[in-house]
Amino acid sequence: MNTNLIWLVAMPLIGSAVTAVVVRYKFLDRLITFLTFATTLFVLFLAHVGQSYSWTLKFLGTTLNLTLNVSHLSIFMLYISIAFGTVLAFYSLIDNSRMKGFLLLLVLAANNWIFMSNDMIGFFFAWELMGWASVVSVLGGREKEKSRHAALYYAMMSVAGSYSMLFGIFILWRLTGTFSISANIAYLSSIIGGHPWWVLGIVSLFFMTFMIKSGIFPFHTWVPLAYAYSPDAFTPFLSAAMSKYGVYGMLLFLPLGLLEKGFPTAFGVPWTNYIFLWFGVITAVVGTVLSIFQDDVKKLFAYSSLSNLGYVVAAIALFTPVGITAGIYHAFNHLLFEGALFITLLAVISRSGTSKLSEMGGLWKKMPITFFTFFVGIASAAGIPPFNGFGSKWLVYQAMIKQHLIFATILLFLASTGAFMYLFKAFHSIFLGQLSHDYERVKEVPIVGQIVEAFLMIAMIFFGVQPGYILKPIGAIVKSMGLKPLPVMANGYVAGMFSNVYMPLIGWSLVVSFIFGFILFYVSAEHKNVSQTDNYTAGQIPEDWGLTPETYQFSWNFYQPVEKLFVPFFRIKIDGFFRGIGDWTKATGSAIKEIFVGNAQMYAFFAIVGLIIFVIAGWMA
Amino acid sequence: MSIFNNAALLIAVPLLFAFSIPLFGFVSKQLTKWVALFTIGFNATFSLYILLAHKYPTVVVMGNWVPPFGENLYIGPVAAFLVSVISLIGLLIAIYNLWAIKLGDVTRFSVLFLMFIAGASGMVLTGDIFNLFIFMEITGVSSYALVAYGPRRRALGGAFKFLVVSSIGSTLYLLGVMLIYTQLGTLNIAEIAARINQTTPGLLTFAGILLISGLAVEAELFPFNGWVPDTYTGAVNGISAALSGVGAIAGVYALFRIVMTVLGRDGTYVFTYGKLDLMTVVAILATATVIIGELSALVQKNVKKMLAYSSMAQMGLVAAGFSIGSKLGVYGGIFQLVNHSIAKSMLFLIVGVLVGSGLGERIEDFKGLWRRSPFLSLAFTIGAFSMLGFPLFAGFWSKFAIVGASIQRGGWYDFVIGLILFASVVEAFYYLRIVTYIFSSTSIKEPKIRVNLSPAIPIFILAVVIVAIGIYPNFIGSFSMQSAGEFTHKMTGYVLNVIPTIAAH
Amino acid sequence: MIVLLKLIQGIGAGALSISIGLLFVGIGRKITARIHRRYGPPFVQNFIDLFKLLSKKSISHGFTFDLGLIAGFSALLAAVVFLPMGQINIFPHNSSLIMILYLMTMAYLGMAMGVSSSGNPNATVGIARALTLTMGYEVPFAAVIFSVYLFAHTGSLTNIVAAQSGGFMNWNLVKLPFGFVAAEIALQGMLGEAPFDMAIAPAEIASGPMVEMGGKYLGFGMLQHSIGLFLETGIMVDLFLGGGSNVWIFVIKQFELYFLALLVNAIFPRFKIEDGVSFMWKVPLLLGIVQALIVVL
Repeated sequence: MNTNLIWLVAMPLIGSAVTAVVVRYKFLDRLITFLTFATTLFVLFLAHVGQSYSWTLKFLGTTLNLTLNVSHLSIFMLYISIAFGTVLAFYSLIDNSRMKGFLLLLVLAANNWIFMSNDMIGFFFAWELMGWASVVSVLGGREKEKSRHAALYYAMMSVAGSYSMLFGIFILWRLTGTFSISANIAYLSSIIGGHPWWVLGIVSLFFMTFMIKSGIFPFHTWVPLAYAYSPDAFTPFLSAAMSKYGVYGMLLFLPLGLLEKGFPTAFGVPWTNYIFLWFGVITAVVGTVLSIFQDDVKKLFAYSSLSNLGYVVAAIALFTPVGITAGIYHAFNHLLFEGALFITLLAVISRSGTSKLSEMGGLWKKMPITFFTFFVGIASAAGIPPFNGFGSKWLVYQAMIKQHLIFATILLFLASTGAFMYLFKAFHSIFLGQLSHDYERVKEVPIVGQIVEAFLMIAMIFFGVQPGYILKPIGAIVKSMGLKPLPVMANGYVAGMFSNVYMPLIGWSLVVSFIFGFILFYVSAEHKNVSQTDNYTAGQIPEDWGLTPETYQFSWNFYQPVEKLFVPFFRIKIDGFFRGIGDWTKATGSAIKEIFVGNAQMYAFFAIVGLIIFVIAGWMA
Repeated sequence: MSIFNNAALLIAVPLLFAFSIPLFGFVSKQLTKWVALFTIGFNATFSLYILLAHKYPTVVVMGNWVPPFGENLYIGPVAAFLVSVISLIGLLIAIYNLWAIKLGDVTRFSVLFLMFIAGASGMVLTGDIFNLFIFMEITGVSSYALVAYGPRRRALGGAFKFLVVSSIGSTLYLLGVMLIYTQLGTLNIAEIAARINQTTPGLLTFAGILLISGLAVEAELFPFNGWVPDTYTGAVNGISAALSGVGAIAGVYALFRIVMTVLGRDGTYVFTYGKLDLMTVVAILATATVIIGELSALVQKNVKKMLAYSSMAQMGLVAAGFSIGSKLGVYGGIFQLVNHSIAKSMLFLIVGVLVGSGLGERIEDFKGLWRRSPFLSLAFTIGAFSMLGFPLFAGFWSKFAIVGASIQRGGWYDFVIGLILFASVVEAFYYLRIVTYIFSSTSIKEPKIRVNLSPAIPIFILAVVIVAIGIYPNFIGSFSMQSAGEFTHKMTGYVLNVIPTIAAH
Repeated sequence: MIVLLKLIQGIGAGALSISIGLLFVGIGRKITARIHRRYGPPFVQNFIDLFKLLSKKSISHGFTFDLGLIAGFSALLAAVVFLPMGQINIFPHNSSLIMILYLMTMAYLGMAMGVSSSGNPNATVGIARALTLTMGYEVPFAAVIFSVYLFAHTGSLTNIVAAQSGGFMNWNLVKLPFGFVAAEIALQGMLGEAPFDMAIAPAEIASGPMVEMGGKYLGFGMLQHSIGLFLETGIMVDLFLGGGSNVWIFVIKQFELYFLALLVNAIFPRFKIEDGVSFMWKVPLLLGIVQALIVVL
């Protein structure tokens, strides 16, 4: 009985109640939010693997045990999500978007509960709590009408997911009579030999929920909307932390021991996992391709986030040691760089007032710290060493190559190269190129924001060069799942199947060669700085054709030629499918509504007809 | 068996005051509303006393005629619990009425309102199927008249439809009662319940069908619920709230008292005697009701009409919970019934306040409500979230229990709950659509809405109660659990408490 | 001590790559001229050009402009030390290939950042085209790397080279012929030679990325091109042509590949960018997949 665990849930709830009272005073609201996050982080320091706490609930006719349990996976997830949340909450002190602190804290409480819960009632409770709190959070975006639509769309997906999970929970309960997650998974694992289809059916009920929450194809359609139109300060948490709930759920259900039960395999993985892997790969590709053509920067990075989760899912679906390591490691890296990117976007949008790429440009001089954080962020996202995205991407590829998955590997490579394209597009359109006259007076974010950005930048470099600090806990997780963990080496190594990358070596070789580069640059003849508009214009005088920085900035239709390549794929509209279901339901509703004609005789007639039908049914029985 | 005869006051006092209100009306019309308020206040206090002091189970006999020979009231867990809910919600609506009811014949309105509460309480308390009919008629007649109250023409239309359909229902019910009486020669619920096995199966089936059909009108089950949308929409909001918060409780109670206690057979799951399992019939009706109600609500542009269809669908959900027949299912059903009453009557009261302050009932009128009245917005959101079964709100626990019970039973109940869950997604859409409208602000600067104290009190209390149940469900849950036991074990839970000497046949 | 040794070796490798790269480009200019029936510049012309450029005064468009170009040059220099060049193998690291490839990506990113911050849309158009083309050739190249990895069961260039020792018949060129052809076409794209020279198309977008460069900036651009050339051909030699027993044989093999690329460059017109990418996704990708399937099955 470790009562400290209950505080991980209770603390945010109390904080939430307090902030709900002071919601009108924005700074106070944000301050309490931040303090609650910090306190929760402190409480988390007291939690250790193996601790558990349970209390009873008189419900469903029996006395139920609700259990909080700290496993290796949960403590890892808790640390990364709460730490990131604290950083974000610190930033939000200077933020003026319409994010509400008490909703963020409700999400935090749910977050902690989801990661610790070892009973499905608590899990579902927290899951639903997180669902509605985040839906209401999304409502506060900059563009009111659009965020309303986004919230509604998100809510529908999320509710459909929850009900699917609810169904699964009770089916398991019917079979085992317990709500304990670990007991149920052990049960599923024990019957999978005899009733594989039953188990798959039940597990897919859960996986549908998790896929919706993580935005995995074909349930990715809500992600760009919800990310783009949620309050700018909430999006980082949505993308960085909340997308991990699905991954966490999947990791809970993956260790079913399919291989040991002699399940048919494809490429050395059980065929179910093989199919699931393809959902991840398709997500990675779809996210990347769609991201390339976005003009709204938050939408662009929403698709980017999606695409990275595709990597995570593809990797964990393998359920090999290197696959799981790669997946969790990439989940962490995704949290770090996507969080940092969304925080820099928050900074940029708060200063420029727009999220349209085609309206920005040349901001690097005005916001240098933001610029460098963003630079490191995209370098990480593109998987460039020695920043933090490299190791995990490389491990993902190794996991794929190890299983001889040709097409998956090639498509993931495609996604990775495409990632480079959209990342550079965002980079160029926001920070490089011509500075518009409108942004002459733009300033860097306040000092609090700069501290946060610098901190995240350092974190991305640190975890890039010293991946061991993350890989060791992941090794423990892999071990706790009953797999053989990858070899543990010094902190600098990313150890994979057939390759160990020593990150500091790359770091040092870069440092040395940069020194040479600078020396060469400064011993060469000197240069003078000229204004940005002082440009080669093929012999024309710029004033003659009314050149302004806005017209001389290339950011509209950036990858227009590439669009032609993907035209056949754009005809597939997943979004249209869901909207079609919605329209169909609505049409059915309008038809059914006609039953209630508003005429007393008809109602009487219905009653009598109903009675007659029953009487006939009784006669027949 | 303990005899606690004072409990008859729960019916007698409202009726007495209902008929003496015209006297007060000579003094002041406004006074009559206060009289109604205090009368229901007495009912609420007294019923809460019975419930909390655990004065049940008890039998109230009339004139020392011990059941089954006399008429009796039976206060078991169900009656104590439901009568408390009825009178508490009635009390809150009466508080709201102080503000809302200003025009027209206030005196008669108060009379009818008291009769309505008395009738509903009587339905829950009585131990006699014919008295049940009488109280049903009292409730019904007073509610037709209440629905017709108000300046708008659609009120009359609503009242008329209710009148027609409800009359058919009463007739069918009475026919069913007659059939049973010809077979067993008694009207006492406990005795019929004990001896139901002695009837001819074919005739019993027919009687059961008649009883169900009659009671399904008040319990709002398809196809006997045609009156619901127009009546709810037509009535003034306080009355819509009363219909969904009070009337529905009585209706559902009556239906399942007959189906489960009178016609039912104990077991892990309750089935009914006769050739046809009437619990199955109810389950089919309930599922159809949920789906039809939710889908019809989806396309409504009028919030009040939407709430009406939603009430219908929720009654279907409650009935589906009961029809599972296990203790857990009935528990979920009762719990959901109470949660629905609380939330839905609050939602109707909020619409009433909005209409009173010059806004319409259309969905667009909710746009930007957050800026205009945070209090009403929050309350509406809480109500909507409770209806959807979101955690931290009351509805979560009951919906959870119903889904759990139905999957626990398995078989074709998996399909029932699958359909209901699909319908719940639809429900989530139309409620959240309003919630998102509330928080999406308009650019036009509109004046704030001032909420008077008298409507604010009930709305506030109901909202707080929803959150309180959501956080601590055990309090209401334990009462629901006791009540469920009374329904599922009819001999030990009901019959033997009324007539200790009777043996099951 | 070992650090110092490696440092000196690294500097040597860098100098080697720069000079070989510049020399290749010089010879290449001569060869192209001869194909075009011109006389052409002397083959040391590029060294002369470099010194001239580095010693000229130039204009800059700001700090990111400088930083980007330095990064483009330095990241490639950092990659060179991981390339086994005949007997020279400074860091026999077991993941050298992936490290080289990703460091090259960093160089592209630096270059792209530098030229984009000049604010000239021609430069950005060029970069956009270059990135699009990258998406084209990386995919078949990924298929090739996949086959080589599986074939050699290692990610280390050193081991891949070692596995090919013992004569021509052991080369991956013979063992993995389809992969070689696919990689050869991808190499044409990497080098930016015709028909895949849309990124710098002088007549369309005024030399694209180079449009704002002058003096030492153009010099850095030249350096980057030379080292890139050296690295890309070097990877190909290590992967398919069995490396080299010493550094000179290695260089000669590199030159053979470059010569092939030059011949193609001299006679082919330019693809439109989308056609270039779809070509890459048809012919070489198909070959690469065929090769991978052969290896796997």
